[in-house]
Amino acid sequence: MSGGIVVVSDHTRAHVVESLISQGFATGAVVVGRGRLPSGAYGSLSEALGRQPRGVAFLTPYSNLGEDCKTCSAAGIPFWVAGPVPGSDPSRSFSRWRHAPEVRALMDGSENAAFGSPVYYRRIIGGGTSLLATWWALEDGLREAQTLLRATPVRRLLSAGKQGRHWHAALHLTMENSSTAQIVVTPSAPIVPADRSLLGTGGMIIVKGAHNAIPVQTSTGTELLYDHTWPEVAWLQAVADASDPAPAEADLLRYLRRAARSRHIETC
Amino acid sequence: MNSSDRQYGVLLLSFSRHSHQRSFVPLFQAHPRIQLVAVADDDSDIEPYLRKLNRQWARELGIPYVEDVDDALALSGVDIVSIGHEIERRADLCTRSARAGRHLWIDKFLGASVEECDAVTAAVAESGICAIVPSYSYGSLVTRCHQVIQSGSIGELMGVHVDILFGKGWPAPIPDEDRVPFTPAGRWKYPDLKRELLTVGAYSVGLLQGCFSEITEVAAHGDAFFFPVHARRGCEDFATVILRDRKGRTATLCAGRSGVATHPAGGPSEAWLVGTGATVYVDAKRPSRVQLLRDEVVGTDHRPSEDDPMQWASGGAIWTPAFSADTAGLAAGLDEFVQALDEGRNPTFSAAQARDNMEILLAGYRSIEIGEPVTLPLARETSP
Repeated sequence: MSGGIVVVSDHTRAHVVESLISQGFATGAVVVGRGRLPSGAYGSLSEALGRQPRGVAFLTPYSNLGEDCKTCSAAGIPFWVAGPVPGSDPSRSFSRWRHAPEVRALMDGSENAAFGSPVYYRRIIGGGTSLLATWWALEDGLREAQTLLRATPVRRLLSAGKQGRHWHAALHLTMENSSTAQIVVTPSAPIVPADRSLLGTGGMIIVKGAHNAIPVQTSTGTELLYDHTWPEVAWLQAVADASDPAPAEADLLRYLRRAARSRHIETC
Repeated sequence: MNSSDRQYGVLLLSFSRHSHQRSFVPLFQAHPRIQLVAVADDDSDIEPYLRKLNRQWARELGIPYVEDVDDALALSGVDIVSIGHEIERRADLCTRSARAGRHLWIDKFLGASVEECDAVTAAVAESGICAIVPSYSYGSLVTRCHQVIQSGSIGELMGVHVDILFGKGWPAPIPDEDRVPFTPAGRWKYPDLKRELLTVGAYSVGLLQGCFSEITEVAAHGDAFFFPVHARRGCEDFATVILRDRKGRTATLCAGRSGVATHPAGGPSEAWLVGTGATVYVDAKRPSRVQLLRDEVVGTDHRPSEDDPMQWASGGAIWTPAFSADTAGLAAGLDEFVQALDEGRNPTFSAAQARDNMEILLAGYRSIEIGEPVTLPLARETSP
């Protein structure tokens, strides 16, 4: 497995890790937190780094992420992070969201002149399995909204709640051009792509995550199969070969903590 | 005669273009326990168009038109009053009807302000009559969401997110010079537009009320995006809202009128229920069928008629018709109202809840005006 890219992830993205390894984009994986990853997993990051990989891609956030990034740096091994790193430079770039096929479809559709001017973006996605995972999902949603609504926010309102390990957060954005976005993170595992709706003065573009799944009917019930290009695949190709696009500040973590504590709608 | 045989006579209080009275008529006519008795209004106080319209409806229905509301309330055989006037007149008519001992079927809003809604709620309680605001609690979206929550499959409810849009009206570009500052809440009646946070947002808020404890905080944004007439009057045709309830749960909604031919079902009517155990997506317009018939598709004229440009009384083409003919739930609401009258109890969605619904929406308008979250309850200008 030496010489390739090692991915670091928690078990909620096991499907993505499996896809990356089976398609040859990654050669091994390190699991963080509870749960297991598919075959090809190393026992620890140190073990993986001992094999001199070409690089390390961190797919999920965890409390020791910053330290692990430093370890990679000290070992002279390139690393890429799919979201912001807690406690480090808040303007460090990340762009996984940009590679989601659903986002590209919305970007393509909204570039049609008939779409008119953007009015509203709704994004609902799982991933609220921890504070840090919720933060990443919100930051991704914020960037999607800015891109699809073609404006930066003039007001950000955040409301969040926590029940045990389950996080639920809603970010309400009002943009310079008066359009709005509602970015919602649910406690579900991020297995299903987001539900996304983009409303323009000329019409609406809708991509529902589950609607694009393949229903597999068995003798015991129905399962949904995602014959899907996960954004991590294109992201990993892009970041491993070139630099990310321009950085943007990722500062929602402290507001997320505050909103969950205060039980109020927080301006952030 | 036992209660299940009893007929209830309905007095139709006005056919304002700003109400859904015309939609209620077929329901009343089809119900085996309902009889239409008369149409009435305070004829000397209303606009000429409405005088004409009221008389026209009375003629078509073959029932008398009574030119004074108090005279009509005194008619024998009147058990229920269906309030279909402008919002600005509803509180007065509701209060007079309740004090006359008549049960109330009220179209969407009790009154124009929280103080008026308080007054109606008090009059209903004092008179002991039965009042229903049928618009919010009986539709497919609400009943299906409640089924999911009650099934326990989502665990503990953490949030609800609702998108309801009406794919109606004919949008046009809005020149910058047409825009005026946002008009605060208070005036609802315009000849050519409805305030869409109020008109459409009320449905989402009704759903939230059935899922949450009392709403304690509201923040909103609204603007004119689609229709120049809204921009010229400083009124929103689209709005988004974020809310919290007493237990710290979060909801978001969008509400508006987004123009014809922008959605296969005439506009989304959907909710996401977020629980500790699952997130569930509910579409009010399913189950449905996809129906694309070539002559219909290529021959459809989407342009609204000149006498109903915002399509208050009409709808656009629908390519995925729902199986249910009653997704709005008005027929179900009427069934429950009759049952509640038989049993001498209040229906599911009470006048007090309708008052709270209006108060939440007014908080949204206040938030748009000041650009800050607003805490509930709102301060009253006068004692109730």
